[in-house]
Amino acid sequence: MADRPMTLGDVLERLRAEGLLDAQGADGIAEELRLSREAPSAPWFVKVLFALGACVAAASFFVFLACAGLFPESAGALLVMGLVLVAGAAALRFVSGHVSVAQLSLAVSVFGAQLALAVSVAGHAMALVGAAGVVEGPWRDMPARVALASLILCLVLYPLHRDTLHRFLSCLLVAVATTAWLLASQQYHMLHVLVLLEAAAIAVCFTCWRLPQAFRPMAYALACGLPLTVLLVVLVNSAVLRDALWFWEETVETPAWPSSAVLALWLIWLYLWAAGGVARWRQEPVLVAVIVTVALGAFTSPGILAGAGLLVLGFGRRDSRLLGLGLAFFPVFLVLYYYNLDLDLATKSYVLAGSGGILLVVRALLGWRPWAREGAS
Amino acid sequence: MTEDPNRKEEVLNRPADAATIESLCEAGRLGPAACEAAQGWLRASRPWWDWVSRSLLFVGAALVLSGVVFFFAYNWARMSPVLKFVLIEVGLLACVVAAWLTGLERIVGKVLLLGAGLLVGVLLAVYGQTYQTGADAYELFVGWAVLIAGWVLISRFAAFWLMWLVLVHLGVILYRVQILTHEERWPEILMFLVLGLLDLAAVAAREIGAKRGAAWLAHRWPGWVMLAAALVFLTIPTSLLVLVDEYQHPVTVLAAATWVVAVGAGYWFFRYRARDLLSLTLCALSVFAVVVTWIGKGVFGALEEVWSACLLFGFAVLAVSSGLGYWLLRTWRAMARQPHG
Repeated sequence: MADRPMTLGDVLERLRAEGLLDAQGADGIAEELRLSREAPSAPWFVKVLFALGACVAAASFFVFLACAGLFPESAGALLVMGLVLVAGAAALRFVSGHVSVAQLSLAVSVFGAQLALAVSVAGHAMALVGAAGVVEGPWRDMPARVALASLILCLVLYPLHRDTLHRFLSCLLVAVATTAWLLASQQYHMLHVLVLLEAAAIAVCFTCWRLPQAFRPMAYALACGLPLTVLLVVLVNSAVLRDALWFWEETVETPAWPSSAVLALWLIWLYLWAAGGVARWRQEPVLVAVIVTVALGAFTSPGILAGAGLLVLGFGRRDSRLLGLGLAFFPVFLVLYYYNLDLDLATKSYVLAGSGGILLVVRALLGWRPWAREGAS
Repeated sequence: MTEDPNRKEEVLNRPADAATIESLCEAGRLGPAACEAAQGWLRASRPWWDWVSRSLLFVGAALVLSGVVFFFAYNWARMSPVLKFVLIEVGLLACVVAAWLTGLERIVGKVLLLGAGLLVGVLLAVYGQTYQTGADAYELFVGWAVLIAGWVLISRFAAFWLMWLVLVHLGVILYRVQILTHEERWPEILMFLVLGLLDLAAVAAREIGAKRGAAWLAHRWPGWVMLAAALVFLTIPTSLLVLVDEYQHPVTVLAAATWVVAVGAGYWFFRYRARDLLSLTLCALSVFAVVVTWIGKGVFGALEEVWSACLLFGFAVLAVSSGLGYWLLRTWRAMARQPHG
């Protein structure tokens, strides 16, 4: 078992051996898995192609409406027009999803879903532009209205527009719009609250098996949103990058430690989930991981903890998407952390080599522990 | 529908993942107790220590090597050149000897050899810094790649191969920037063509190696990285040929022809031989970019009214992406129905 990953057959066999599944149930599951394998839904990388096509088409439709003089003058009318397009897209998705399964071909279903997605993206853009200008006020209030509008659209459309890609993009839009609002209104401290909410939601969505699969697109959107929010926390604290990226005069810094504390607790909770429950906290590997995490939280950037958390979740769930996200963001945060150290090049070289050396020594020492030698899980 | 016992066996031999178990739970196929137990077993079955150990090794080694690079980049005025060379060469020798003693079949040995390969670059940089040789930067990267080529060959380590490829790419790009400084367009197209061919050769080498049972090439990700790079380098000149008249040159036509052959061969190989949907999707994305560029040029060139061109272009983009997506989905389903050879 240690040399090869646990297979679905192993799981079913063990469930039968433990009396949790009868022979008939196991056969039924095997047949269902076979059928689902022969008619699989689109994998994430094909959805990237769909999203790309829909976004380019939506931009074209948006420009078409603007150039054809179909854009209403008032923001309110623009908001209404955007909502009509979004509603039409949801209806189109419903029709293409239902009709094509029974009567039409896969091609019609794919094109219908694509068209519905593109129209919805264009409608979202119009509705958000309309929402931004619907009330007179300073420009800094606009992001708040955009964030609120995107949240309302997401809440309403999530159950109605039953397309995983639409759900993912809609939730990601809420996360990005909320972050933009916090930045524009200079509520930097609130970024930590956003980190807390995203981390908690990710933990619930990916570790609670009772949660319906319909929430999965939201979970992946939050898994993308969390490192982006943490990246902003890191950038706000990075003097060099802040000067390059921030355009307004007043600079209100926020300490990184609240996000570090939140993400350290999140990571510890993920260790306990991986170990099999809170009761396992006394196990030596868990204790070592907790100590290392507390040290990372105290001395490094919250981004490193966010990247590590995604890696733990991805590895524990055997989920290549989460692992990929973690692998993409972890080095970025690592580089940013060392880049932001206010040290000269020579001292930085000692810190880099020293911290690398510590990791190698820790690895060598832990490798001698009995649980490591047994290839402990 | 008749049941094929081999197909069922194939499905059951797939590695278990949390999402599949959750879908069975939601469908009511597994009761709450079975779901809880299966999720627990799955997490417990993961080789956590192996994973943590490898991560610590890679991150630790990367930090130490970065520290070494930073140390010599500081350009110590008080340190004599001899001391600098001695330090680097001792480090280099220590890495090689340690790799030899550890053995290249172990991951530690591979990482040590990669470290030695990186120290060769540091040595060349310090050499250039000390003696002010006046050499162009591309010579550093080409020389570095040539010097470590032997180690790369024997390392059986995908990360070392990728590092080597990056060095060669940098050498080619800097050669274009520093030597081929013509006003004409063809040298940059030639650069894209050379880089694309290099990456295609690397993809082919990986596939042949994997086919011959090289365990270190079993992971598909290096192939995806190299294929994506190859397609990017070949898609750019092809799109430029379609879009900009100034790029009408035999070298660009050759690059576009190479793109056509690469996409065609990619379709055949990844559809019928390697059966890899992600590689097929990369080819489809490349086709999407070229076709959309071609349609865009045609539509915006033919129609005077921007609004009508935008509307037509939007629908054309949707048709292309839907068509490619539909083809990918159908291909995947067809591949899933075929037994593995």
